[in-house]
Amino acid sequence: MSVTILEHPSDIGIEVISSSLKRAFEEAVYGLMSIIIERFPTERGIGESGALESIESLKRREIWLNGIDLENILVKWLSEALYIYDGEKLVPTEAIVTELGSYGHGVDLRGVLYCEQFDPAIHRTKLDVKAVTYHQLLVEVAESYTKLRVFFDI
Amino acid sequence: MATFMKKLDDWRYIIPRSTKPGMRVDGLIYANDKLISQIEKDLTAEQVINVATLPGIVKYSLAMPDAHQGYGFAIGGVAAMDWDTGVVSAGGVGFDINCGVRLLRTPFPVEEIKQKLEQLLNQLFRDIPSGTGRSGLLDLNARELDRVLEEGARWAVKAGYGTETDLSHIEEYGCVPNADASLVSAHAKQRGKDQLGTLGSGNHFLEVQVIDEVYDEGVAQVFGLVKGNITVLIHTGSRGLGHQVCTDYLDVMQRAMPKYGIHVVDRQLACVPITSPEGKDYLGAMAAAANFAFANRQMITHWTRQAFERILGNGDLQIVYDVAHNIAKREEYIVDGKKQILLVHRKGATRAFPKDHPALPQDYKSVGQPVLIPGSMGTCSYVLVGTEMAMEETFGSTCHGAGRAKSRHAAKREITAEALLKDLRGKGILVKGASKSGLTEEEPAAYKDVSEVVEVVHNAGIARKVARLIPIAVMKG
Repeated sequence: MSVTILEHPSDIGIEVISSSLKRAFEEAVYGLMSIIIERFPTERGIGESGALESIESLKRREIWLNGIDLENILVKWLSEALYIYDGEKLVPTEAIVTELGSYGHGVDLRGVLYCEQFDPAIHRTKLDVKAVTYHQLLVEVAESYTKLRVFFDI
Repeated sequence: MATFMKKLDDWRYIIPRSTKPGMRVDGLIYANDKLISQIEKDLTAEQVINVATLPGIVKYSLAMPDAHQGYGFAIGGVAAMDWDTGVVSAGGVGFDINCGVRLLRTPFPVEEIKQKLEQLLNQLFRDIPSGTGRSGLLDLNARELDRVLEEGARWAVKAGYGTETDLSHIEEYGCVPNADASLVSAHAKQRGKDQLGTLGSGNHFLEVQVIDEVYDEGVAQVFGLVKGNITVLIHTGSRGLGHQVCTDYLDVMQRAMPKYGIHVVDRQLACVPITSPEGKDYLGAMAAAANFAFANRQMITHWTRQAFERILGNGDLQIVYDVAHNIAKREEYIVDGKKQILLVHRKGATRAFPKDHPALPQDYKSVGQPVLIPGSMGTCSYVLVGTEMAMEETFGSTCHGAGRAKSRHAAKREITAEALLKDLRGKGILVKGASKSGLTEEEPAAYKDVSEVVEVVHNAGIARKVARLIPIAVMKG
């Protein structure tokens, strides 16, 4: 399992290699947020190792999406994470994809993003990401792994 | 030079429509030998070719000399579509809808402000929110935000941020018509509601400059530009609201394309017929986002004036002009001898209307539209003027800046913030940035040479040089 940061003259991207499609989608959220946010350890012990003190303090955002295909749903999933950060000032720290597949028309995704309230004492915005793009977008599902590549407009 | 590209003259390269199946028109790239070799290093030419395949494209798929690889469209790309048979592409405008620049002229010769420059820069930095994740000083309620979206800079003036006379020196008089706030999603409004009046980060900046060279005295006089005087250049856009509008409508367009039998070679080029319900909705939402950007630059202008008033005792800063760099506009052109209504996509390009154009304010009718070309941090910027040649060749469009040459990461690796600040200070430029990494990502060497870009458009005749501006103080997000 790995997330690699990719470069592009006007963007930045991620490449995710994971054991399953759902896991890869979850990892992609961490990849996106690692580009945007740096998290500092605090006296409260939160963030020391990226681990969270208590789950109760997190805000939960249920995500239900329908897309044309896997590529489209990946862009929409990451766009939701970006919106939650930029619009609601919440920092997704844990992503769970509960369902991802074709259950009717197109592709459906159900998931949850657990988020911390953005707090300048523990979060620093490294980079403003404008949007998730379709540029050289890749969703490669093989028997033993899934590979994703996504570029973000910055 | 790539084998498919043909050099037409010293400033133009053509990509014949026979290059790739599906191309409906030729590609035309404005560049000299040096810039074409830079353009060839990335996917710009391929993106020019891809845009040439879009339904209803007229005459050429164009790229300006500052063009570089974007997503779908090249940044620096221009494409005009027939209004009745053509398509509108959200990617053809880009995520930062109405990212643009505004130039203010001041009554101060450089000598009069030198002693107080650092104080002025600090005041600007205090008064104008900038940097990653920075919220603005306002948190608008839903009704007020809708008014911003539908009225643009007019809303800002009514709210006390400027005067009526400001509006005549803004593209579209600061308000793109047919904007409809109801077509802007709740997500987009949520992202934008506390970002009005913020500079943002990335390549956005505010710069205090000196007019160091005047190439056309007559036109400069009409624009109020006096050699040795101070100007202020503001570069920002529609912030998260515009980004979300583009994201939303890329999805709408992708879903609708099969209905219209449209296939695109790159999903970022998703498009729908201009006159379709989805096309009209996008244009209404895009106009609203563009208006948000005009209001944004208007508010920053107001705080700039206040900072000048406070530090220098005179906040009488007049708008020379305000231009959009990322927008799609309904415009009329003569094509093959006939009048035609077109939708002109400008993605990283500037409108450059000539004298006597009906869209120009009365006081600029005799010379043409001011075209503002920001350089990269620490390099010069230019004021140009629109030309007839731009109307004939480029749908009244020209370049928009220097154009990125290196990735942000590559730029960061090559220079530290301390070294960069020292270098700029050595050139007599004060810099204040919200973050060190933001500074190094935007270091001057990460961009093409803006003077080279401007020489190409000047010599090709698609804009004419009027004045050069040199930075003395830069505020970066």
